[in-house]
Order: sequence, then structure tokens, then C-alpha cells
Amino acid sequence: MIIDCDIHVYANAELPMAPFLPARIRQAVAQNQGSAPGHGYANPFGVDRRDLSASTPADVVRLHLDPLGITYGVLQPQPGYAVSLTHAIDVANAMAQAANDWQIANYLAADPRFLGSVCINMADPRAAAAEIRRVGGHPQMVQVLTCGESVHLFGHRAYDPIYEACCESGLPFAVHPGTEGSLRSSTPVGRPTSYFEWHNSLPITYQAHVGSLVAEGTFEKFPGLRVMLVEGGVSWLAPLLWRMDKNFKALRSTVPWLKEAPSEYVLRHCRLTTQPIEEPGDPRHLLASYEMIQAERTLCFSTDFPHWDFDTPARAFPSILPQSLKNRILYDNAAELYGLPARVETVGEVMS
Amino acid sequence: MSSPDKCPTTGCDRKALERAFDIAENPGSLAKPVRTREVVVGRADEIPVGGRKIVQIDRLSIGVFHLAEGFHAIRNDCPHQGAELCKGSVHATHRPGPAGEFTPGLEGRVLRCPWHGWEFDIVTGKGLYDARSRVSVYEVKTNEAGELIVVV
Repeated sequence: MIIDCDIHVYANAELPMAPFLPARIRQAVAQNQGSAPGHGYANPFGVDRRDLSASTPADVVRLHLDPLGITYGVLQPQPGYAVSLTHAIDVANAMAQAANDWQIANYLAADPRFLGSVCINMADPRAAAAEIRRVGGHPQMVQVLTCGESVHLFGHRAYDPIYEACCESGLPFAVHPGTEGSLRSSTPVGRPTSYFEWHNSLPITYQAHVGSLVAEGTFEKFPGLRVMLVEGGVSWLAPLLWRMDKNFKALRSTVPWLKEAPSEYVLRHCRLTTQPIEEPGDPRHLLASYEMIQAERTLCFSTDFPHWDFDTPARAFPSILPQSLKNRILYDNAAELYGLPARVETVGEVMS
Repeated sequence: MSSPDKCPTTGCDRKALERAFDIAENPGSLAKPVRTREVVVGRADEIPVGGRKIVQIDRLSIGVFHLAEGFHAIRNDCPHQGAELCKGSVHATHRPGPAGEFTPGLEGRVLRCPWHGWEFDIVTGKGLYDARSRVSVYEVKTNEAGELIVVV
């Protein structure tokens, strides 16, 4: 059994988003008021896989869910996940609503294996909270979603209404990369000069957000909050935990609202996805990095379908990964995070 | 500037990338596996220059590419995660060189895996990031009847 925590679906000519926009806002979107700054880095070879094209729910089922045996797939809709960066705040709020209604009508209704992400506009936290409450109760909506680039670090109190709504709705707060470098450089010390360098820099943003969520006491304020870190890498987490735990011993009095070691908060509240899986020359190093972050409860499988750095469940993991750990990563951890049915073990016996 | 083939610190093979490009210049230097089974896979005139045909020979899937300099066959199986390599795009790459220099090379014979974009030389099967990574390549011949023959 497999839960894929990262499937991209796109509004397009076949499945347009415009009908889901309120009539009063369609003209503003047509005038391009929904625009957002870009980061300027494009994969010169295209961002999608070259061996297929998936533009409808039927395509995703036929080309991905069925052949790979995906039990559930969590959608990351585009546009939608990055509306937080849209300049016009009111237009962004409408686009978030449209992205959610578009998902429900086109994907969630099409197949019970599709699970949705409530897209929100972080630039208007009250509107974002209202949107979570509006559609978060849909039985196939499993998380709240925004992009990695943001005006504030995620621990900023401006976002508290969003986390409050997440807890109230029982939905994890998820972040997906891809927009880093839009508002400012994707590294704090200068702009990368190639897509290669930009892509390598993405985990920096995640480290900053995780550090902020811990230091600001977000998990003390919202003990029920869970954070899903999608596609941001994995192996950077352990050294961050060690650094925070070490500093905590001397500097705890500067963040006196923290009651536990920083690593405790992260391992309890944060989950990560596997793709793009790190591929050290010695596969034991991957296993070691998984042990360091308690992957048996923190790590969830994802493919990033249909993007170029897609991972396939049959081949992504080195063979030395124990099957019990693989099962946790492929299904159980995400099932627990999203409240999905527990693994069903089937044992068959052929009778003659 | 010369550098030892092995890094004295890490022991890594420092020439692995350059070797892939050296072999690309001189494909005859590659040891050829002994293969004797000749299989007709179609007609030479059905694949235009720049085109390809993916053929199945028993359990083996092979892509036959018609490059400017002739026909080449490479296994349709990426050594990374098993994608159908031969469904990837064909183009040029940039040769390794000094910092700041772009030197286009291997025009029309670089196969980019459709999944993760890893680059392979269609002629040698070598990964253009490390010569130790390779995909099997097969000899292609034509006969007097204009048939295309792959030796597997």
C-alpha cells in the first residue's frame, strides 16, 4: 500500500479554473491582476517528465495511480499552491477559493483516491483561516497548502489565525517548494546563477521555516499543529536538530516559552516527504540519515508526479532499507498524519 | 594542470567524467561484448535521420536511433530508476571545460532520460556524468535488402 504525498495537477484548457472564480473577480484575473513575481529560474529541459502528459484526472489515474498501485494521492494544485505570492491580495483570495473548488469538482469527485490540499493566501491570514473553515471539512481535503517563499518566516505570529484554523479543522499545514527566490534571493547571501544552483538551494528555506516555527513557540501555542514539509529534502534536518538542541542549553532563557528540547517539537509536529530522494554513493548513509530523524514516524513517500525529478516507489529506495521501515514510509506515516485507514495486510491462499 | 586520477583525500575517481567524453571521441576504444545473435528489426529506410524505433527482442527492449553518422542501438532501460530511457529527448550537451566556458558538443547523440534528465551518449552508452555508469549498446548493421539488423 502506497500513499503518494505529492501529485501535481494543473488547471488547463480542458479543466479551466475561471468558472470557479466568482464572477466579480474574473475580469481582474483576465487583466492579469492575479500575477505574482517569478524567480527567473527555469529548468532548461522542462519541468515535466517527457514520457507522458497528464492533463485530466483520468490521465493521472491511468498513468500514475493504477500502474504504480497508489492507494491515495495528495494533490498539489497549480495554480493554487502559490497564490500567497500574488500581488493583489483580494484576487489571490479568490484564486485560492477557485483552486479549492476546482480540485473538489474535477479531482476529488472523480476518484476517492485523490486527496486535496486547501490552498490559502498567506498574505491575508484572516481570509486564509476562513477558507480553511469553508472547505477544510470536505472529507477528501487532508491538508492546508502554501509555497515555501513567504513574506514572513512561518513562526511569525501574523500566521497564528491560519494555524488556529488548521488545528480546528484537524488539517496539517503543508509547504511545497518552487517559488523560492520570488520575493528575495533564494539564499540569504546572493542569487544563484543557474537552475542547478537554485534547485540545490531549496532546503535552505525549509531550515529557516522549521527553525522559526520552533523558536517562536508555534508548537507551544498550537499543540495540535502538524507541519508537512514537501519536497524539501531530508538529510539537512538532523544537523539542524542537533544545533538547536545544543544552543537550547545555553540560550533557552531567550526563548523561555519552549518547554522541551527543540528536536522534540520537530519530531512530534513535523513530517517530511522523500522525493527527490537523496542518493549518496553509499546507500548506508541514506539509511543512517533516516535513523537520525526517526524516519519510521516522520518520513512519508512522494513521487512529485509528473515532474522531472519524480521518484518511483519500486526503485527509489535502496535495497538495504528494511521492509518494515519502507512500509512506514510508503504508507503508515502519511496514513497517521492524514487520518487515513490503517494498512490492511492481505494474506491469500490458493485452494485447489 | 595535471591531477592524479584518484583524489588523494577521498579516493574518488577524478577522471570518471572526462573519460566518458574521451570514450565518446573514440568509441572504438570500448571493449565489445561478444554477441552473435542477429535480429532483423525493420527496414533502414523507415527511420529518418534524427528518428528512432523502439523494438522488443524477447524480453529486451532496445531503441534503434538513426544519428547523422549512422544507426545505433541502446537498451531502453535507465540504470537509475528503470525508466524507458529511449523515450527521452535527443540533443547536444556541453563538454567539460574551464570555469565560465560553454563548449557545445556531441550534437544529436545525447539521450536524456525522460524521468530525471540524466544524460547518456547513444553511441557508447556511457553516462555523461560518470563513465562508470553505462547502458548496454548494440551493434546495428544493414544488409543488401535494406533490412536493419541488431546484434544481441
